[in-house]
Amino acid sequence: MFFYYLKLAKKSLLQTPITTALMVLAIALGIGVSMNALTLNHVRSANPIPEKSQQLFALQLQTMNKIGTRHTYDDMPMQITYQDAINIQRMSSSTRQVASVKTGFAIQMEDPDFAPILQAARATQSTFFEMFNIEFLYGGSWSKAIDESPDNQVVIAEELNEKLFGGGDNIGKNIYLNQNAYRIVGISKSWNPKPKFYDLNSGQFQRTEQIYVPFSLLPVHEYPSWGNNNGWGPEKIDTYQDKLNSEIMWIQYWVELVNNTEKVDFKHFLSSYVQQQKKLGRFERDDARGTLRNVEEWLEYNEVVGNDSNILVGISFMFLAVCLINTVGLLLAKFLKRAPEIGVRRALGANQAQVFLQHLVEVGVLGLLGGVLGLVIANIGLLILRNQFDGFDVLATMDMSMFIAAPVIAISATILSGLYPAWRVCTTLPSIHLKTQ
Amino acid sequence: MLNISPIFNAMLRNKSSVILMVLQVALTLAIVSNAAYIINERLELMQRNSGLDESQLFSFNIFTFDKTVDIRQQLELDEDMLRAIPGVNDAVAINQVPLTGSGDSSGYRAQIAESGAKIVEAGVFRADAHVLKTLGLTVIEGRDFTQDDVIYATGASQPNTVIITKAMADQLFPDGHAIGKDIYQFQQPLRIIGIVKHMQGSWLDSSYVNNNIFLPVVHPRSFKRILVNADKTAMDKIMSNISERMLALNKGRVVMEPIKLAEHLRDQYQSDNLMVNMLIIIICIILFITALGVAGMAIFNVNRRKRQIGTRRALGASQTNIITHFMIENFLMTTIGIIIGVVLSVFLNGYLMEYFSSSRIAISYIIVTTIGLVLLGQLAVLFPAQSAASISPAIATRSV
Amino acid sequence: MLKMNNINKIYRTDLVETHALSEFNLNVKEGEFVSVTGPSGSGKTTFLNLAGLLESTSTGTYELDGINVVGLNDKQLSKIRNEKIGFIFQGFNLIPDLNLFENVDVPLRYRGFNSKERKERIENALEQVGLAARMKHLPSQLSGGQQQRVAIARALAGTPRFLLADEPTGNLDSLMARQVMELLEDINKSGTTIVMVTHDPDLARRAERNIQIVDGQVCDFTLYQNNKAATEHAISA
Repeated sequence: MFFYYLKLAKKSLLQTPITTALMVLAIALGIGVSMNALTLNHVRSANPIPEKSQQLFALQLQTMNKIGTRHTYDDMPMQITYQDAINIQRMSSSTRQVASVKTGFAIQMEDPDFAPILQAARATQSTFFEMFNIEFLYGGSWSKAIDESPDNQVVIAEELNEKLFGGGDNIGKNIYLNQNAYRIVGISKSWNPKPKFYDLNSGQFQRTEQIYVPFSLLPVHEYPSWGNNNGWGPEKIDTYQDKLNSEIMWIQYWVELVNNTEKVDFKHFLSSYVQQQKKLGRFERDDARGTLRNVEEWLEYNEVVGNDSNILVGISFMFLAVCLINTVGLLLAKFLKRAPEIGVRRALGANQAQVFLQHLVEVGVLGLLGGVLGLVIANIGLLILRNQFDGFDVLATMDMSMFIAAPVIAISATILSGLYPAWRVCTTLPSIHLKTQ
Repeated sequence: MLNISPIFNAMLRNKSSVILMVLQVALTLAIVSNAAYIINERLELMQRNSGLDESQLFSFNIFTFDKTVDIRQQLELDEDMLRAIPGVNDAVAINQVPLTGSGDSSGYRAQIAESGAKIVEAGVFRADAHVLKTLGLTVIEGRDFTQDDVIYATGASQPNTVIITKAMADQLFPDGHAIGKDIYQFQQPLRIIGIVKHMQGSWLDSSYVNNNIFLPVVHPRSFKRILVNADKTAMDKIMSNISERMLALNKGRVVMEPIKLAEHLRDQYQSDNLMVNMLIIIICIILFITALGVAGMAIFNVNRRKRQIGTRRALGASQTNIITHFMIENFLMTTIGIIIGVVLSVFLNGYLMEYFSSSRIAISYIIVTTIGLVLLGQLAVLFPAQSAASISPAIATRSV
Repeated sequence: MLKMNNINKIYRTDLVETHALSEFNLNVKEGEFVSVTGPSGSGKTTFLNLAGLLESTSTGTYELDGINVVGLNDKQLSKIRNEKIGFIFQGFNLIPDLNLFENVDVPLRYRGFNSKERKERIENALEQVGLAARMKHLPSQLSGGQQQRVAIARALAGTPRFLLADEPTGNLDSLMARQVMELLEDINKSGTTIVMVTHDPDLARRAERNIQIVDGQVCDFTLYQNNKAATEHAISA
């Protein structure tokens, strides 16, 4: 019967080409605009590491004095100090955790003709790769020992490997970072979580760093932070060592806790750490504490989705509602106009359910057409966005789920709007339309 | 002539299409008025005066990796070279560039930190005495920096003098007379020697965008920003070979792509711009769709009532009567829609205020949208009404 | 075949209550050809709608081919209409967008026959009414008489036990009317029960039995040939 309904739908839609075109256009515009807005929102609200988002926690510490303030709603700093990072790691060594900070280098090669390029880098620890599920093409991370006793070793990402060497296994080769030779120990697979959850400071949708160097090299080479350095009190910072010893907050810190017991234990450890530091004269505030936020909470805390994105989605879905109401009106008119034909079908033995289904199939076809055209409109819109605005190449791109969502939303919304007209036409008494006009 | 009650009764007999029409008008009103208000909010935001002539400014970053380079000396050489390029008005090495979305900020007080005096957050600009000239700013009170004010510091040393924007001065010293007063980040006093009228800082969405402080201090660091003020006409040419010129002086560094401040400004307002464009598109399409809906419904009604209209014509109704009938019918439906729509608009605005820090919608937006919708509805119904009026009275006498 | 006892049909609006049929009794035997006449507003149409299961009775009993149809749901009623009843309307009621083949196909689709059986039945039915050659034509390309023959083919394609004809020749000129009438008579001879509503006394006379409805009740029960004059008088009044 379904194919019979499809055939009837085709006939019916072609019968009134202008009405059909109007309805498809209305649905398509509604879907196109709301898919456009939803895509922008979707990338922002995406879970960048779904397999572990409940197990990875951003660590925050309230280390400020009473005068210091931050712009977060709970007045907590987003980053921690170097000394806290070192302390916590020493005191809870059984927990998997990682400190990291964004920095950067001028890269040079053995080839003297190679023009130095500037690249962002991440100073971090070997646990970074395991915690964030980064895979390797060749080699692997530097050993855990390097996290304690520094050595000039480096992991470079696939893309940079292409750029510097044209790809291939380059383990053991040297590159020069700010004129110091580093030995390549690993080439990591391309990894670009969106949003860049592990460090949202400078650009929530920036590309990941292409170079990883041991965090333990910080005091050795005095890597500057390429992210935020937040202070809150008078401190005389003349040397790099001063900065390492200071209250400046510039380190991103993540902890992996796989179950509730571990979480409870670690929280317990944090509060004892806070008490211990209080005794040493730090952590002056009454609300001095440590907090843990998992990936999703962390993204929300950082307002990654953004107000505008939400407003646009809301308004565009209201807009879709208007388009659909419009479609309901047109469908109602169209279906009721066809009531005599339906009267004949009823007389010839079609039951209400069959008539209802026949109309829903027609509406579904409309929805499909509208959805497909809507996808085209949405993608044209996104193409324009990508061309008009910098940095929208990631934000304004539909992924597979959006490609599927568009027609699904279109069809279900259209069917929803077709329910009433279809119900009206199937419940009309057939007899009143059978008499000759 | 204007017999509203029979028209109204006829509408009641056709509830579903009337309800649809009313809903559509109501939603359209709510969306259009709120969207128009948001658009205006954003346009006002974007039209704020930055205090700078963005079309004359560009900046670029340099990263010195060669540890043998004396950065302080090299910066001087760089600046001299840049200032000598024809078309360049001035150039300065600076810690942050306004309107770019990245930089430093600190809190300042009129008294030392421990006093608990009100803290005023401000963008901090560190550069030598060329800073105001390069930015194209002049002091409205006090004096500009001289080279004597400038200190060169590798560590925490602070200069003794500062210049601040009027907005910041007004917040620190509401009674005026900021010149000659000291302000504090912590304990060390900074003497205000000059006030500039206005400049926006690096973060255009921050509450303290107009609070900015200039410190005459140069930190010779490996990562530096260079700001250049050049004649509009010469800008592109100067920017095109800036990297070669810089590297010619010293190869131990990477020189990044120069970017115009106008471009930075555009990037900073990108999301507002996006919002405005999207909302304008939504408004246009929604009005188009609603007009289509009104017209479509009217055409349907005309077709359905062909005989009835013919009969009316046969019984003496003039063409004007028929047109008026449809216009009034549309007006009634639009009016009901508008009443619901006004409530919906205020409700939507309230929601936006509560959850998205929007502001109270100006009533004029609702009024203008209302008038627009009435006109749109009348316009959309005009053509179907005319076609109804042209129905021949003879249709009534045509046999069954 | 068709047994109606004490049928009442009342139409209600907010203001009025109309008794379209009251205490209506009728018994049509299998294989009969019955004509139903009556003045305008007498309840002929209501009778037709009830008999065709297009509307339900307010009270009373109705048995069709041995099945008590009172109280059946829409699905059951639709199935009976589809399998047991064939409709022929004054206005033909062919679906204008469908060609002849597709028009005849409509009831068979709802019957759930496979495509082979449907094709066979459609071709046979159109053959029977002499229009097999034109099955790809649209109704608008046919004359009124031809259209009515298609409608008859559509009614016959499902081999119903019972044909309901509503003024089947009302829109036709006399030559075409005679052809259609002859077709109906042939169908009746092959065993199909026919009930035909008409206001044409000549037509009514050709049926085996004539029933008159006046004011919602069966008023007379005579064989038409016997008192033609009286009937004519009643109709014109």
